[in-house]
Amino acid sequence: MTEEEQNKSVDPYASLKDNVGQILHNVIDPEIGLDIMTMGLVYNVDFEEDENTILVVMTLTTRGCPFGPMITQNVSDLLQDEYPDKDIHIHMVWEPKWSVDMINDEGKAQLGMI
Amino acid sequence: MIPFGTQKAPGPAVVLPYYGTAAVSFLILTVLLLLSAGHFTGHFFQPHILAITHLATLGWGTMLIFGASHQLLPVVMEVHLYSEKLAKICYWLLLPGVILLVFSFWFFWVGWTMQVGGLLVLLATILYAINAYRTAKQNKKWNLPAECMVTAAWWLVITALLGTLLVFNLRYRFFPAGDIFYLKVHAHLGIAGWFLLLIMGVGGKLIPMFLLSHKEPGIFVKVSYYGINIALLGFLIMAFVFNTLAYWPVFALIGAVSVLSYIVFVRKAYKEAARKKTELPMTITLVAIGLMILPITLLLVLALLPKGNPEVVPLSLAYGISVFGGFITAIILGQTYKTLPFIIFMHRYKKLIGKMKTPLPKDLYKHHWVKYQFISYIVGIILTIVGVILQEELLIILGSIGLVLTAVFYNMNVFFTLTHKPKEENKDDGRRTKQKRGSVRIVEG
Repeated sequence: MTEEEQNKSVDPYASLKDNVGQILHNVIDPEIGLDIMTMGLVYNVDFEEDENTILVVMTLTTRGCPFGPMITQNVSDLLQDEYPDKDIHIHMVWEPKWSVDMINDEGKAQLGMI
Repeated sequence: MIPFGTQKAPGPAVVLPYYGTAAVSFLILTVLLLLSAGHFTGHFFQPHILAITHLATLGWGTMLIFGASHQLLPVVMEVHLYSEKLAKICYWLLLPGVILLVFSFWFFWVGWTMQVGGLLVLLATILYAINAYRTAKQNKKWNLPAECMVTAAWWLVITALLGTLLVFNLRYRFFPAGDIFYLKVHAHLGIAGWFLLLIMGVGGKLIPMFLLSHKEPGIFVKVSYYGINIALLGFLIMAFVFNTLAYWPVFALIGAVSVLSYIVFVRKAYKEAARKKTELPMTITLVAIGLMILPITLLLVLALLPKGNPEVVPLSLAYGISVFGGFITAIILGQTYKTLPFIIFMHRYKKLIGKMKTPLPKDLYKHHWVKYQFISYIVGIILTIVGVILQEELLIILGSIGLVLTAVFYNMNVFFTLTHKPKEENKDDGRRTKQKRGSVRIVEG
């Protein structure tokens, strides 16, 4: 059994979540120039079957980020385009507080941090 | 939980006219500076210098800051701008007010043109302060940057009120002391109360954000905020209750400590920054913060000079130029590229992100023009200040040419950004044609 198949047996929505993750790679933080997945701004993606809802738990680099409303709007637009029948629930959280350590290595390299 | 995503920046028609007008004012003021180079080897209380100073403070600095803060205050406070209408009226009062004032000072018409100009500017500042206060008041949790911005707005009203009274005093003579006495109070209310506090407030939020540093404004900005306010209140009481300015060095010292405290904050933010490789607009901003040391140094030298020393006049002029032409202009020259492209990007691309490859805000201006602007600015401001201190007209002329070039590159970039349009319109890639039955909910908590 491959790793992907194992994941699916544990979580039946693993491929859906993967796809959501891929879609969110298209949402760019315009100030930094990196996408929100690379930035580590998305903390969790989940699917609530009963409510037919995609739940995205995310944060911003700083509270009151000027691009915040635009970023969340982009997240909801892209997910709605891909899943027009599902409800999209974006939960903006401030804990844990985002830090640069949450940027993945590829992003850190692009920012000249490593 | 409170709804997120409902934050609303004002429309482009509210803020962009401020940016365009400020850029043109900057160009005109540098040309006037060049034409009046000879006047800067004399006393500062003369028509051309008054005209240039008011064009610099109102047409350039205040005009641009009004535009930026109508956009930024809602962002800092996470609320809507209280009134877009007030912001638009404010522009249409400020613009003719500045034009009337500058013309009146240049030709020294002390009659109705100067008085109407003063009143229009005063009204504009009152509307701005009301809008800033009511915007910030929507959020019960005030943070330090917002506190700085709102307090600065009220200091601006007091500055404009005193300025307007001075304009009427030129005609009707009702103040007990001479013009220079009140002019010093008027100038310092504007410099410290309006520009410094506002820059500290906005910078307290934006500098760490742009540097990807999580340094909170904290104690250092708090010291700056209270220090500046205490110094200004003390200065006002000394001038209007005790009718003297004799103890100004005490308040200058408090102001100097406040500014140094702010510089320490910026230095710490930079040290903790994840983005060490700053882009040129942020480098210019950091240079601007460093330039704050120049007027402080000149002020302390002035405090040590005996009364009547011939160096007082050129050093006072150099002090004024190092404030308005120095850190205030420098910070605007840098932060324009962090705010204007963002505003244009927000309005022109917000519906296109994710549906097409969009440029980033930093792609909406020409980076090499910023570089030329920065080089000509540094050379221009150094030559001008040195020329004024040494009373060398040739150096002032050369410095002014540098500043005219700065303004030309700045204007080219500002209008390049203002006129930017997405290459193709209506980038609907087909996904929008799907009928949406699901709902969207965005919450914060």
